[in-house]
Amino acid sequence: MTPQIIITLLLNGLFTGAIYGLFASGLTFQLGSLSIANFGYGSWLILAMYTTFFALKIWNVPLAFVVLVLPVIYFAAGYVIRNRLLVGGSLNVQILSTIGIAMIVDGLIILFYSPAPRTLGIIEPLIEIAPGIRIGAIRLTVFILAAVLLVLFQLFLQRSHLGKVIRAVVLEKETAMLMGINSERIIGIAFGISFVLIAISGIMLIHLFPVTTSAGSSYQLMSFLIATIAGLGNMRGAFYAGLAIGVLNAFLLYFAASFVTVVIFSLFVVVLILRSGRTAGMRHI
Amino acid sequence: MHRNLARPVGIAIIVGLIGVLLTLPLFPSPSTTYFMGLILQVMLFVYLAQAWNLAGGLAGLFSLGHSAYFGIGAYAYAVGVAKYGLPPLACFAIGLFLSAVLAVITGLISTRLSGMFFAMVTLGLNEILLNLASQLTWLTKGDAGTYLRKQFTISFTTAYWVFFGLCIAAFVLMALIRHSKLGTLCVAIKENEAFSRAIGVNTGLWKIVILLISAAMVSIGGGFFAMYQGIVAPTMVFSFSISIKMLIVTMIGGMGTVFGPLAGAVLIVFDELVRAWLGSSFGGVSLVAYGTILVICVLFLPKGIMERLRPASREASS
Repeated sequence: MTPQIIITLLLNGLFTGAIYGLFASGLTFQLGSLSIANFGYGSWLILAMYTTFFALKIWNVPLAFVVLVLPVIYFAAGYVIRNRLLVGGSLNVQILSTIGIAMIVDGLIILFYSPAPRTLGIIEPLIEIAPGIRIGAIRLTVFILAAVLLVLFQLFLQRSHLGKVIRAVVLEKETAMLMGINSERIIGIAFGISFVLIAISGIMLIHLFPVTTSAGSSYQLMSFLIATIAGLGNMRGAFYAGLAIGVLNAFLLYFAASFVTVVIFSLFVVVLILRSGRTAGMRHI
Repeated sequence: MHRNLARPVGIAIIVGLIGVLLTLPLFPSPSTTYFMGLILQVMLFVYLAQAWNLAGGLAGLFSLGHSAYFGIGAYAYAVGVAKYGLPPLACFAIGLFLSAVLAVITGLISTRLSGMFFAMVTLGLNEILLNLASQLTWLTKGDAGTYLRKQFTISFTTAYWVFFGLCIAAFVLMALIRHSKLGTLCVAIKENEAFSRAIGVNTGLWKIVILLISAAMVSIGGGFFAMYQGIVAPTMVFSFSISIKMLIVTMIGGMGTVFGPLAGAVLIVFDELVRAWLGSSFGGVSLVAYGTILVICVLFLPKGIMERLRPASREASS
């Protein structure tokens, strides 16, 4: 165990953690700020991964086109799901209908893309930043993109008119309506925006990891885990928690590869119990 | 349906159903065997859903990890008889003990976390057990699964009767608990936990009690499932889809109602039939159909089938 290995693990863990942070912040926005429990999150994520794979490899569409079109489609999907199916529903209704939607998405993936595992098969070029310390170039790019994206999203929420309206609705839905804001429509738009985050995460993820039909549920669990550790609705916290989980994951993979999930989920349960007083009802954005 | 009519019609349906289930095995033929297989599958999930209903429906303990108890029961039996050569009864006792330990832990957690967070913790606990089952290869033989020798398994017909008996027992138990002191306390806790505590109800204790009963039922179900399947593998038992099915069946039928899980079984029948007709030719179609029917059910029956069947009694109670 040389310092080089430690630094390599640390950096690669951080960079992989950024993408965990990105897709977890989409979930935390839905769950914490919009109070929508989306159990189809993982399915939508792998749908974006499969679609990107097929667009790049089979249909020969340039990446730029995918990056432009997929988020728009996802925005529309998110808006329609929120304002046609979930509007006014209780927690139980949300859970059941999002599970139902997830089944439909999974079924469509199997039907149109076949359940075979897919990978872009990119051999990640390594950058040697110091003697003996190599980091993956794609991971570094993803890290930077994810960080920039989340900063932009925060700026959008803080500065833009639509962002301010969304925050108003999250804080006090009824008061916002009294001020002439169509709250239901705004929540629909905000849910659509969170779907844009899913689409972008999916496009990034497929460049790093292979995708299988069962990957959705593990991504979903991972994002729930990160979102709850950070405190629901806390997007900046979700990004940092994602980084922490990424580093932990990298070290565990090196030392005790077979017990990664056990350790991480035990940690999750313990953190959740210890923080129980503080996680309930957090809504900051 | 008119209130005075609902009760006799309901009794007639249930007596008729029991009659069909009792007489079906008397006429052995390929088609009866097919239907018995279907019914066995349905009975398994109705039984599990009723167990979930006790904790989730009555007491509002929205668990997403009930398959943990199912897996513990199944593994206790399989590992017990296959690896240590224990008598089956001892294996069930071990399974019940381990499930009880987990239920107490979960119950204690439920005093600190509620709603979404409680659901996530139960999901996490199940995930931990799933990974332990696949990684502790010296105990469970990992992902390859533990096989049972012929003398430790039960035949298809025996399994049919076992789960028939378990279902009847589960419904009787639910009906008894629903109108007992325990059931009333559980409903009180679900409706308003803080208020229940304020009037002197030891909410933590009763949540643990109802979880223990629910976990014991699921664990026994898991043991018989292992007996009938002859093999136990991690993803077969510690599976999120089993937990999800328990709550879907209960919620479609009606949470906290005695016959909710029976009404919700319609969904399992539908799923199995679609999968039998289409499954092999179009992989995803059955999933799409299942998902669609689920969404439609939720849109039109947000409080479950039982709620729609008994509008009059609902008005009386509210």
